Amino acid sequence: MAIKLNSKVTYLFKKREFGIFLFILILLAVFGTLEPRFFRSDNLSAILSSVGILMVVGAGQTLVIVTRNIDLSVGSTLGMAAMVMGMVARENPDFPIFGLIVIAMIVGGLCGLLNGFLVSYGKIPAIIATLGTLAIIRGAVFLVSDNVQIDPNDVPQGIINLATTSPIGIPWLLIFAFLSIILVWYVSSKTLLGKRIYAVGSNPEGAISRGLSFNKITIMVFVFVGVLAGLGGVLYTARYATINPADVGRGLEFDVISAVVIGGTNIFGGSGTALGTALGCILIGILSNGLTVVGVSPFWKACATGFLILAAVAIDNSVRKRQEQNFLLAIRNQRTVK
Amino acid sequence: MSPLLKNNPRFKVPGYLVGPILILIIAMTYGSLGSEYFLDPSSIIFNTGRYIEIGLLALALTFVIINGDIDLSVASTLAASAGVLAKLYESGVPILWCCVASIFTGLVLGLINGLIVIKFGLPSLVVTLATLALYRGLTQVILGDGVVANYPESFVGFDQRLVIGGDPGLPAPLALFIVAAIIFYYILHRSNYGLKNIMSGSNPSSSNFSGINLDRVRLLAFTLSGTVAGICAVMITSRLGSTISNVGLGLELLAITAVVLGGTDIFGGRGAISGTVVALFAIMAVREALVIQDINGQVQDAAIGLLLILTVLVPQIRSYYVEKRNRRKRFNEAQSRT
Amino acid sequence: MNKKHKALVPVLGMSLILTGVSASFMATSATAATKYKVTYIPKNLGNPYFDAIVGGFKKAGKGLGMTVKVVAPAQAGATDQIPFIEAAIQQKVDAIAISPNDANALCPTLKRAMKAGIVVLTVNGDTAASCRQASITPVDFSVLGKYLVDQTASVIDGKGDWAFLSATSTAPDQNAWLAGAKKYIDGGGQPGLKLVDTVYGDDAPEKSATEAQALLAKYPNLKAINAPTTVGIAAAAQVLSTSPLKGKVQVTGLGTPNQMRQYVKDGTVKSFSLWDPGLQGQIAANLIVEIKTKNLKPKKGTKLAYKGVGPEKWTLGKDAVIIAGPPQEFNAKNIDKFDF
Repeated sequence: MAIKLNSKVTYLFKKREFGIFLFILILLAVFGTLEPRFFRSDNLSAILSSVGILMVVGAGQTLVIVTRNIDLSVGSTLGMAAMVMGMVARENPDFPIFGLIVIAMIVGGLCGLLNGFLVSYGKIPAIIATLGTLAIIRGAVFLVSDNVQIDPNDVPQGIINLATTSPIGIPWLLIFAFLSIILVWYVSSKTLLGKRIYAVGSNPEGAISRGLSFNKITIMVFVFVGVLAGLGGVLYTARYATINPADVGRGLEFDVISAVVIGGTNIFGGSGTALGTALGCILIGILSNGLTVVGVSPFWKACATGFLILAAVAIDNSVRKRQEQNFLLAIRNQRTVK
Repeated sequence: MSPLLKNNPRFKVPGYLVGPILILIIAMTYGSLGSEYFLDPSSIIFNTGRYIEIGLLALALTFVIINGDIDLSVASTLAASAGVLAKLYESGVPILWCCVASIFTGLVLGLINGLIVIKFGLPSLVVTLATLALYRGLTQVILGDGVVANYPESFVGFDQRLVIGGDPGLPAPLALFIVAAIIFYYILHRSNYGLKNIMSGSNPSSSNFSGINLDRVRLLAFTLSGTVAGICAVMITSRLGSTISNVGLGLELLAITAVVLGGTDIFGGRGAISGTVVALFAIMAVREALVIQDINGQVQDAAIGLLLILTVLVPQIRSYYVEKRNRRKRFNEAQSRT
Repeated sequence: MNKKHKALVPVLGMSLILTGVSASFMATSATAATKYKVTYIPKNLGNPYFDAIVGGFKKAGKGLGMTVKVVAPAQAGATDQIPFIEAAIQQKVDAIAISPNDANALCPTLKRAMKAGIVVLTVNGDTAASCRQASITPVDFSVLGKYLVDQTASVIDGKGDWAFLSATSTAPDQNAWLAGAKKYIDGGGQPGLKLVDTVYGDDAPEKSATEAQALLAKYPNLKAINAPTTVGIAAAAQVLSTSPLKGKVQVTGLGTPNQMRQYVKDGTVKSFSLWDPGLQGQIAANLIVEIKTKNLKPKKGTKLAYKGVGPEKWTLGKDAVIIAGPPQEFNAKNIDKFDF
């Protein structure tokens, strides 16, 4: 009996991303039919590399949203990390690439730590705290950089290569993206820490009364998303080569949160998967490229994007509701059989 | 012993007003010390005109946020309404009817937000994130890359007109804002609807059981915020004398900042119109004090972000120490008794 | 008693922070005994193109007894510059030079500035002629549309499909150039070229790159992308430099040498153009002094002559527009001579 129920649970979890997956297939079919050149390999790989940056940050954001928090400052954090890394590289052209990546991740992690402290010990609602740090960190990017951008010829070739070269046929940028998603999947489904993160999100009072350290877990997820945003800063630099204090990571929070939400993560916490977020990122990437490829007028593009995001969330929501009903029905049936 | 007995309740400033009032005073002092031009009365009154749209949006958003919802699409709703106004005017409709149509557009778009949120049971954060893109896209469809200007003289320059007196007098936008604030104050704090609004935000399920039609309360709040956005569209068009598709970009964050700074709980159930009003003036004072001393945009944003965090953080720190002291007092009392 | 504590903490905290902020900024705006106070408002901060204009402004201002203050909003939105204009009016500066983000929305405020006796110049972009005394444009904007088409023709030998990658759909300058280009094409200019699409990268690197990539995927015969914006051209060049189509599709347009050097050297970009942005700042500084001292009323036909500044002689065109100089083409041979 217990085994049977368990298999139903895993079945449900497998199917959770079904709605969004279906939506992606439909979009691919539509774009591919209207313009077969959409499926050219260089186009698909370009979509993936722009999605890669989103995925790295989205993986972290998923865990933050699962704990009933939100991080609006990811774009500024990414910008700060990229800027500091770029300035180090500009002053020391021979700095090892690995060292630069570590610097960016540490800078990102520190920004995350600030957010984590404000939210946990400061007891400030995450949406307010990170709305504040969104502006504060962006201001800091300007002060640190003295309003001067990093030009492509100041960025080491080793960093640029991360977007194109690789040991196994896929660029480093995508390897980092997949690793981030896998890491979040592994932590959330295979470790005790993951169970605690979900417990804090789905039932904070219960989690506290069971003795879980609420503050520690909150700080941990914020540092985690900060570190990943730092990594995102490296990948941004690899992909776009110019680091402009105003442009770097501007508005990223909207795309990331859209992707996470489209991926089925509940904005009120407690549930959400890395796979869903990955699919959400892919959906956004396909949309922004595909709409231009099939020749949607630039003036209709924003409209179409907004509408499709709404449709994706609505479809996902109805699929999930149906699944939950089936699940409840299955439990009831089992009870009556017994 | 209790603090209530110590203070005369008639002169007690509500807790949520302390932060904004302090910011207001400090910013005024700082501004007038830093620049001899800051306290020029006609400039002060004149400069308020630019903040009134934010203020009106914030007043309406106070209702939405107290309900436990959020409306991120206000600025895009404003843009779409302004777009309708501009296109109608261009096709020869008298300006008065264009204004009516603009306000009606806002009403409809707000209603759509509310209906999607309620009928599909989706979180408002997600829905209005999508309509933020959707409505902005709609504006781009309506206006394309064009600019509509040459509005009649009688319509342009609403913000430079004085209602009472002359130089310095009371400018029309400020007068409108004061009237609006009084009306909103009565709706929220003195009317039946306001009570329902606060109740449904503070405890949705028990309000539901006590016979409050939650859906209708929330729908009304969304419609209100849309309508106000439509009114602001008329005001901003009159102030600028032209319409372009990026009008009001980013206003939503400024308005939400004013609401939160004014002590409204971002999770709903608590808030006051007076807080929003004072917070608006506080933000205005800070920005004007900084801009008159030639401080750039990013740093202004960062300062507002910092103040946002401090207004929530400082009371938390204070209550932590008060609690600690009380605990020690109780401990000492208990010890002396034994 | 509690209330007192409550008041003290934020007072101390905030005044500390505010004095910190002001201290770091007041240092740069020292007001020695100068004759003219001028505020220059670029579109936004951190943009190397406008930094070059500022450089020219300050260089010329130094010799003229002028302090040039530079303030800018966080975003390049239509109305974001208004508070800075208002502040300048309040400070009673002698002149405001502005690179307007919007041709119409700033008009009421600029008119107020002129009414207050302040000299108003637009630099690198214009508003309606009634809202400023004179306008300084880097090159002849009315022929720049044609220039962009001819530029595209020159990198692909006059034949093939090409597309525009512009800034935002509301950018006044780019829209004017695009309209000029279309008019030139419709009139039979460069018949071998075919303009297949116009997309907008919103001056954001991510969106510009996405749009550039989509163009590559959509048009099999695309030979060139022309991006008349510094952000767009760099993003398009970066996409192409890592694409299998590198060298087969040309990127050209308007960009700064420092940002594009990499791509010219690795063969992604044959040539692109710009002008000397600093020249506009130099002219603006000189013109302000001339208006102030000689009570000059700039209008069509007014002649200007400033020694040691660019071509040294200008004649004002229709609506008191000054054309600073000719465009400059950059390619592998000459790019190392420029640093901005």
